[in-house]
Amino acid sequence: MVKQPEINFLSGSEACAQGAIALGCKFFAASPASHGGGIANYMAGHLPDAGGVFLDMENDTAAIAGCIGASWAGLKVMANVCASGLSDGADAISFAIRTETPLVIVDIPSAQSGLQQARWGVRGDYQLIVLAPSSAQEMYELTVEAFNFSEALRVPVVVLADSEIARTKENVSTKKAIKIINRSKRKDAPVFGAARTDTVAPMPPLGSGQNLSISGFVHDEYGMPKVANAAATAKLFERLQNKILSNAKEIIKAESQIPEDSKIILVSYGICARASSAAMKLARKEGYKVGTLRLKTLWPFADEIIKKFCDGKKVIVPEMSKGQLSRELQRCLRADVVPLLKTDGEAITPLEILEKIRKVSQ
Amino acid sequence: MSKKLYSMLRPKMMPHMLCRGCGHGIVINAVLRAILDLEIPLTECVLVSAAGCMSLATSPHIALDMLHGLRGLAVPCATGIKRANPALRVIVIGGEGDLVSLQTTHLVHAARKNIDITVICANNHICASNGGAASSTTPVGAITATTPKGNTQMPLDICKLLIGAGASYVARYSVAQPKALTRAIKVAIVGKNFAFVEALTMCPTEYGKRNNILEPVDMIKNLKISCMPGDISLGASRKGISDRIVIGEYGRK
Repeated sequence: MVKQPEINFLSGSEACAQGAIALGCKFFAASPASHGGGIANYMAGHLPDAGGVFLDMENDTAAIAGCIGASWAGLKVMANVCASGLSDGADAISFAIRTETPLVIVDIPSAQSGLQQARWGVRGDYQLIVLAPSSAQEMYELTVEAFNFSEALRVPVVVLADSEIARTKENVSTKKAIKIINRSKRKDAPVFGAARTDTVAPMPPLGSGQNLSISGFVHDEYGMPKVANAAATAKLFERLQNKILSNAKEIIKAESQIPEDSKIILVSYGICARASSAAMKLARKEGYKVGTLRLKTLWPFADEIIKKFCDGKKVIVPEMSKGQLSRELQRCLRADVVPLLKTDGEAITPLEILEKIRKVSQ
Repeated sequence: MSKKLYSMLRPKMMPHMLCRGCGHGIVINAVLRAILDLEIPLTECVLVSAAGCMSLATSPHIALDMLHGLRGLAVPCATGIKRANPALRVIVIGGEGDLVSLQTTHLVHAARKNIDITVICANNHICASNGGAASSTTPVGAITATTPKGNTQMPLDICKLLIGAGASYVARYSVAQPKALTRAIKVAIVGKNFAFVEALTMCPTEYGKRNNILEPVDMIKNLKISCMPGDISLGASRKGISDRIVIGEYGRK
């Protein structure tokens, strides 16, 4: 008998889609403008067989709006946006945050230009969660985690994937049992608030007789609009912030490879983190005392972790943007932050990072 | 008002914010009566409202499952709800300021999908809630906040557009024909296809005042005079303020 493979050879996009299906995602939407990510094609083929709905929408706004509706109908939902798709869908994501709608959005921007937009592109003083996989295996694992955060905290979660990660095929193990968190569907408590701002309210679905008032306006804990009401506005915004920030420890994750004697830390995410890893090995061979810090959670930002590992050290930030990550590090560190910026569309190489390490060590 | 109709409202959230003489009340009344007459279980109904006076009018006053204030997003959101749970009756309700300007694309593609949702569009020919700007159905020559010397853009015939896009059922009536309007809404809800009902209505505050029609009853009289039963797939024949408007239904079997 032929043994079934325990390891699959998948692209990041395929791994992401498989993770979503394994976790119980039953609804996926994308627009043709965002099919380049590869996730939509996989979902079109496999999601209906898994009992789910594949919704092909005209643009990214519609894809995310469709997901919001389906989420309130009780399903776990995912959308994929590529290139400028997040710009298109920003207002819809804003509605999802304000109404505390669980929703996973896989964003594949150009290069690493999407870091700040994933946080601030959605107009409003909100908190949302952004995760950054750096391998096909992590596309699987962090998609699963994205759904769990989304359900537990009733908040949209963005999986920000570099196109290199989305398109490269690697070994992905799907053996490990995955933990599944589901939103509470209790009908005995207000759906949009609680006594404490760090508590997540239950979310009964449409059609369960609750006369849900799912309002994009400022609202009270029953969803009743409270337009131009200062107290209600303050309460709602505090709740949307505190719900996430009070769980920062569980949400914010980073991976550090920092030997005791490290003097230079490479801080990066996604594809650049892989180059950093390789660069660290090369640098150590030449005697440079280098360590790496890889951000797995981009937002809320890992201020504390970064300070813990990088205060007082020299920090090099390899990123494929004009400083979107570097500026965050400059903001939170009392350290020498040296950006290594590459915006010609190509990935940063380990040798380019090594060259920078040599330069700052002179 | 009948007890049953009243039970669909949240009396504690009154008063509503509609102006004296607004036609939205009649449209909402028609929708609620249609739901009651069809004896649809209320737990199956989901209303999705677009931005504007219509969303502020429907929420929080109607006690049904509702998503509201979805500026530019109501139609695709409704599509998602229906695909996720086909047992729900999904009704989009909005003004033409949002539905016809911001959601033209979404309406066309929902018609193409033939998704079983009902879209009720209250058309008062002006974007009233943001101060009286011209909308995409404002007649040529009408005075609005953004066309103080008279509108020069052609009003869009959304019914003809959606028939062209493949919509199964499209109807246009005005609040001066409330019974026909209610009947059309019932046909729209009952059908298992994409259905669009344009409810011509009036805004005395923003449109009427600027165009020398001071009394709401005169706006109703105007609707009575200009509405003309006919084949709506041939177009509304309406360009200017005093032109006739074709009312009727397309696709009723």
